[in-house]
Amino acid sequence: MPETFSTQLAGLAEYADRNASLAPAAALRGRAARRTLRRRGGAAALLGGGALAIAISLGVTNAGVVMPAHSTASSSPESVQSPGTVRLTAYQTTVLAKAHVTKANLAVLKKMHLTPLQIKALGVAYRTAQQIAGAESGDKQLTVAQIASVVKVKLTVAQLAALGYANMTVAQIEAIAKADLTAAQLAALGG
Amino acid sequence: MTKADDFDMFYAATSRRLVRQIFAMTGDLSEAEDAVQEAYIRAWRRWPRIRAYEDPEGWLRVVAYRITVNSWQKARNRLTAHRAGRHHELPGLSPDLVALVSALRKIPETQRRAIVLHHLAGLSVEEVAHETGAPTGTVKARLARGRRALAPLVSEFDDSPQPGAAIAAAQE
Repeated sequence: MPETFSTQLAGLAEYADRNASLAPAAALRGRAARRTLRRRGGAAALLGGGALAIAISLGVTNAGVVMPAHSTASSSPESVQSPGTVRLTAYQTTVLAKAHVTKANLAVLKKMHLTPLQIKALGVAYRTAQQIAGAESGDKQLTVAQIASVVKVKLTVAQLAALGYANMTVAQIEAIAKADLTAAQLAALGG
Repeated sequence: MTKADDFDMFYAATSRRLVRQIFAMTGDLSEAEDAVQEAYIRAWRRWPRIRAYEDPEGWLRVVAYRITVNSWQKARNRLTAHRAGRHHELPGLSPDLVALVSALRKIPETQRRAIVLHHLAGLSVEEVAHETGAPTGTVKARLARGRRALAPLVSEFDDSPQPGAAIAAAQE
């Protein structure tokens, strides 16, 4: 390639140098930090929804009215004592009632670099979920996307336990997100 | 030196160079700025690991490039004519360089990337192959076709009968 072409490309580079306006590095670091916080906040909200899904799965009625949770569906039993009722649609209650985990799920999750404490919390979640599911339990596997989401967000033990109850599909998570629960409702249910 | 200091020094040393290269690949300075800054934001979130790479600048260039490609795809999907028009805004650029940007935009994206990496970033053919994930033979072919397409703008190599013919040949 002739030197003139390199010269021309250098001309483009000079133009970029003259006109480019870049934020300071500190500003970019700040943006990265804010983004991380937002994502963790969003994940916590979703997991709060997961806890809710299990808690209410015991109290679902055909009319779609969820009675106050009276299950053992949380690693911190006191956290599921909802102060009132939560009204969901029939569709939402249907998908939420299917939430459960299996031994296979746990085996997969154990390979995902979880801490011993997190694995223990999952074990507790599994046993509780078995009790919840009873004889009707199927053997649904977590999807790769679901496992990836568990690994990406650095979950607390409580959050992981909450998620462990909910073998949720994307559609289920979306259904929870659309339930438009208040922060108080999520907090009361151990999110 | 703290992690932040290290990142800041790296940013100061490399960010403008990356903007130049991405600008040459995209022909859109604001898009290049956005993509490069976004790449550094992503880099900061896992900085210790990326800093340990053999070529962290190369990693950033690949990420920034992919960001621009993704934005092109989104723009195509949304049929954003307004955004497409924005590409032609290069105030203060000399006519011959405007012509060069225009010609670069017309050749296939893979050829353009190879040309910029080789002739502006100074990467060897093997390094271009490594960064783009293509065999060296393919990179050589892309470079040759890209040069042919751009030859009308470079007097020594202006052996094409018509400027448009070379670009059309490169796109085949």
